[in-house]
Amino acid sequence: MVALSEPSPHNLTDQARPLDRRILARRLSVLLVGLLAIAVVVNLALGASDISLWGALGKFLSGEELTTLERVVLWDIRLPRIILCVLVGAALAVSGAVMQGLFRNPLADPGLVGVGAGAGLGAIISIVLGGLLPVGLQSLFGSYVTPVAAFVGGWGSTLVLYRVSTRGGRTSVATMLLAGIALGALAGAVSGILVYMADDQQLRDLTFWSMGSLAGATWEKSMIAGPVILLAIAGSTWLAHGLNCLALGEAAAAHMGIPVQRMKNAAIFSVAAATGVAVAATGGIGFVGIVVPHVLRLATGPDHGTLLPNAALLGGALLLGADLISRTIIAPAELPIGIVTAVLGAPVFLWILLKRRGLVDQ
Amino acid sequence: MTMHADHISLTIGKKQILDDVCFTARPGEVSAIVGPNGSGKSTLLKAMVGELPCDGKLTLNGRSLQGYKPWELSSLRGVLPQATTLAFPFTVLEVVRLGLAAGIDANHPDRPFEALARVDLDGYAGRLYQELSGGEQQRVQLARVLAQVGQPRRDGHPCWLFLDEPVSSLDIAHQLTVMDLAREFAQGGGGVIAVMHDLNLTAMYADHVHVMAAGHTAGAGPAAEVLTDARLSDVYGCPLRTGIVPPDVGVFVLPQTARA
Ligand SMILES: Nc1ncnc2c1ncn2[C@@H]1O[C@H](COP(=O)(O)OP(=O)(O)OP(=O)(O)O)[C@@H](O)[C@H]1O
Ligand SMILES: [Mg+2]
Repeated sequence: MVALSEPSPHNLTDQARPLDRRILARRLSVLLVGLLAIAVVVNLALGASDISLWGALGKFLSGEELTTLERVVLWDIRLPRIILCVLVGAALAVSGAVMQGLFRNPLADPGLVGVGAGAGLGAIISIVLGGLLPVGLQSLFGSYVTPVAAFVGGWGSTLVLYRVSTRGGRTSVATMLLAGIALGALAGAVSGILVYMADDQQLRDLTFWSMGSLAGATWEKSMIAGPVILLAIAGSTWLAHGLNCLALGEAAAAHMGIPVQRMKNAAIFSVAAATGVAVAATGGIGFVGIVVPHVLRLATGPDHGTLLPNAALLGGALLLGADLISRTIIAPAELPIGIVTAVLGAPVFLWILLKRRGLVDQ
Repeated sequence: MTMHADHISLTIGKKQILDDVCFTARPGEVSAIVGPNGSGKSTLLKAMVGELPCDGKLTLNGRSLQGYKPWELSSLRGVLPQATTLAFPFTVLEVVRLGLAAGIDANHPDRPFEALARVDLDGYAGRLYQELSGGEQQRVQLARVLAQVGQPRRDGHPCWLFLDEPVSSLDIAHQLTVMDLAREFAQGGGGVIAVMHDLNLTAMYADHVHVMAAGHTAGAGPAAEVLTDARLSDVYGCPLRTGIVPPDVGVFVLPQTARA
């Protein structure tokens, strides 16, 4: 917890002004930009192939020709992977923070409450049944079929979840988590049936996708995910004030001039868009959405105006770190990144529960 | 230029909670709503601020309530609920600033501190809201509302405070502080509508009293006319008498003594 200047009870005239946490948060943003930059450079430099980033950079700056290996490794493999990784990390962390603001609970996370599973189901449907679409539609959507289907799946499950767990403006946490389990199980079962129906080629696509790995990163994927995720993040910072007011309850937010219903719809839409695209690109990657906002709230407070941009930065940097581990720990093989984030994130989640049991028993 | 609720009826499920209630509050006055638990006071207040849909007509400053945009209302009217839970660990300053952003003088750096000073919470700005006592939390919420709607009049129109039991968990000194604030707001030309339980404070501060009983209006008018032995005994279901010191009562303390 950040130390705030202790208010002195005797100081009645000269109001002791506490340190504004917004200032702390802005300083933290600068730090996080630095951290992200370092992570990008490290991920560009390290990997299974033994090329020298500095050598290549020197050649590039002096106008010398890069070797094919250098170009392929740096430009075609590592760079798009880094970009996709930062985008997905930012999307997961920001969706987590928005969802927690919307559900008024720090345990709400798209991965945990079935939104990720819903998006995954959408993606699987598109892979297995995509061939049934009229050819015209197929060529219209092209590589967008899976992201769009994942978005629709994520959106549907968020709506169902919100309907089930929120009554009269109050979200029951227990209902939310249980409904999330049920939704996840349902999506998993349907996915299982579809996998059973899939042919060999589809099965290969599915396995690749469901590992939750960034190994399939391409420029094309980054270019599809990029605009959606950046828009969703930009849109959600616009929701920040509304989410802050929502912390006081829906009625209070409405009396403070927030168009609550519209704001909630926009929040659900942005969570579904960011989660859907992220899931379509990389499969399910858990715990980023819960750990990143939690750590930031501890450091600089729950104000969404600073929480959301900082979550994007830290989410990107954290996922780069996780990807580095996943690429190097058993090199030349790769560990799926979802395993790395689960190993790092699950204990943090348990720790949150241990410290704040009251969150669930309310 | 009043707050007027015309023939309000409200049912939740099958239960009729408000039955044909008419209520008028004028600017320049403190209007109190009193009545036993469950008589519909909070529900009436929620209906009047548009939180609960109801049958009947609501007008604020001569305009139908539906005609206002959310942001117009937020600079004209502040609402203090009976209870507030806060979902995240905001500091007192951050909570009060939320109210400020909703009002007209958004981002004025001194306003939150002034609002805190008015509810006697100097020096609390950096504390975490969730770590305050119940009465302190209630005063922070009032400061938030005052940061939102601090001026009794704006552009020639009266502003309004809707307060659901603003003093119920406060000590006697702070009850008086808060009721003084309400009276000051009214004297400045604004309107205050407060749900009250303490009949002594009501008699002391309210210009207009509206008595609720089982979802009906059981009387409305100036305190001296409405708070009668017969009506109070009937509404609360126990024999009550006003202005009488029973023999051999021992110690009693009236808030009136502090302002006599
Ligand atoms: N959401 C609801 N569903 C069903 N009944 C409700 C609901 N809200 C209130 N009621 C009922 O309406 C009646 C009036 O409630 P209200 O909260 O207005 O009482 P009140 O006069 O404010 O009481 P108190 O002095 O305890 O605050 C009560 O009988 C209550 O049980
Ligand atoms: Mg009440």
